[in-house]
Amino acid sequence: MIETKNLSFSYPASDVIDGVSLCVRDGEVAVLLGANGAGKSTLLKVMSGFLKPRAGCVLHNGRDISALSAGEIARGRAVLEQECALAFDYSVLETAMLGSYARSRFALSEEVLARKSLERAGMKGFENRKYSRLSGGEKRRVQLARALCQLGEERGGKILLLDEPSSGLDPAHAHAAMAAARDAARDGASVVAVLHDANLAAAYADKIALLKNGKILKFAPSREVLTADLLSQVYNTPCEIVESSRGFFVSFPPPQ
Amino acid sequence: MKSGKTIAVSALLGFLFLGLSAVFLCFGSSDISVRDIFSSLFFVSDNDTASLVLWQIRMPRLCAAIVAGSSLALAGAGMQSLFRNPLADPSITGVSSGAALGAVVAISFFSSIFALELGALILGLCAAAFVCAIGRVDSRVSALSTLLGGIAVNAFCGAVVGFLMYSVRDVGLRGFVFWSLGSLDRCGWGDIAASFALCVPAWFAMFFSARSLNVMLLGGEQAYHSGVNVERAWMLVIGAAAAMTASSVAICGVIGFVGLVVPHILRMTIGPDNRRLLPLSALAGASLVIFADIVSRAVSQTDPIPIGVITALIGAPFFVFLLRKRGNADD
Repeated sequence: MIETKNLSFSYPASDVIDGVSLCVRDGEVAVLLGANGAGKSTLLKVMSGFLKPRAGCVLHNGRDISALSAGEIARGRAVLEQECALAFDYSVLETAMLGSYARSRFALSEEVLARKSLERAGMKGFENRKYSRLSGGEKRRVQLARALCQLGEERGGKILLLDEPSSGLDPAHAHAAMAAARDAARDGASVVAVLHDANLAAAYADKIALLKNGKILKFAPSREVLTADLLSQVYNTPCEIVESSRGFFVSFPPPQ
Repeated sequence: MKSGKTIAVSALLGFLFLGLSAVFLCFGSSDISVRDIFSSLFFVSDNDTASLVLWQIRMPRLCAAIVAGSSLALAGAGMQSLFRNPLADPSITGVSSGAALGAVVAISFFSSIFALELGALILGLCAAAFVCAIGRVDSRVSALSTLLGGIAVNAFCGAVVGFLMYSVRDVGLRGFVFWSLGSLDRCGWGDIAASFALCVPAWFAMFFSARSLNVMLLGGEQAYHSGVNVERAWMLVIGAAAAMTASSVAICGVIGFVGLVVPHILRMTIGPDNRRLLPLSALAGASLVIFADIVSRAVSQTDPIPIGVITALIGAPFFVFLLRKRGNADD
């Protein structure tokens, strides 16, 4: 379970996060939605422990992470960053194996888990390819595999933080990436993902947090959050909710 | 996986190291047969001259080459992984020139080898600490700022060493040239023991950091997410690299490009995994310095060329090649 209590964070020039409180329980997928610059990625970095809050606290399974070391935090949570440039040329398998740093020193168990994680991220068969030779979307999936590898086999009570996991992916692979996150939640992990695609959020999220100017506008189950009024307010553009036999879809028609 | 290639490269480097060491011990200005050298090495020899030359001249020189070469290559490999940049090495990041300045200042006032080592270590670590301080931006470490800070420190220390060389004119010039260009001419067992005492803990610290360095290749933020204590890893690797460089400078002056060229070639061959790269860099670095000293003595046995000149003649064109190959790519 991951929880934030009255969390605030500022960069020297401006307040980015202002009094955010939310809680994502084991087995839940929560999605952060908001316009560019709303503070979604910064909130995720504070939740991960990388940025220290100005006020408030972040709890991982009830423990304040300000008192935990990087290693202790990493054994319970994994992060997929928005961008990840790998210096020097690892193979795909070696890159995925980097995820096991905090947990294991035994190469054999690292390798087995990394192979399984690559399969979960749809990168089976790419193990011996050079990371630098992959396309942007393939690199993204390898980084997702590295994060899944960091979660390990026992995923109950772990935390998975994903910053735009569908970025650079085609629709099929975007669904596959979110399905992998959903699987982690099914195994007992708490998942928080930053997304730009409201329909992807609708398909996979149990809860959605709408952010505007660093504040939570609404944090509730998907259907309650994804309304035309709220989304228009967040994105400053017209929004329509289209009902169909397969559920509902969010549409942003071009402004008149 | 690369285990087969790593075994092959390890075996090749092992044979190269042993072969070059054997040539090194047998080759010199004294007219002593290979048989006498080997009998002095493995048995009690009745040839006192051979025994004296081997144990008092060539063996300490070989040990100095091994300590210096392996330390420089190991420091270079560690720093390249830490900075995520194949152009980082102790001579570029200011540690070498800081240590050289410390050594030059120490020999201006004291004659003891320990004072010299201490001078090299203190100013080498000061240079490293100063560069780390410059590299801190918004309470985080910036690789680019650190590297640029190192270039500034390098230029400053080089200027002071140059000024001291200019000030002493001919009298002490040769001694200062020794520190600037690198040579194994002055190594004795005392120097080696002092250097070894400093190097060994630094070697272990660097080997201990291999897994952290692997994850640091993802960048500081991702390394933190993966569980690396980034600040501690920086301090440990920079401190170990400074200690290794300072101890190398103390016994044989500044030898450039070993820390740049060796890890880079090996990385192209066996990949960037520091668990393989660090030990093999140490072995290859030692072999390169042994080879450079053989070449230096082959050119002129009475007045050998400083080995820093030979490693620079090999390394400088390679450095340019790396720059051209990298082009405008970001680090």
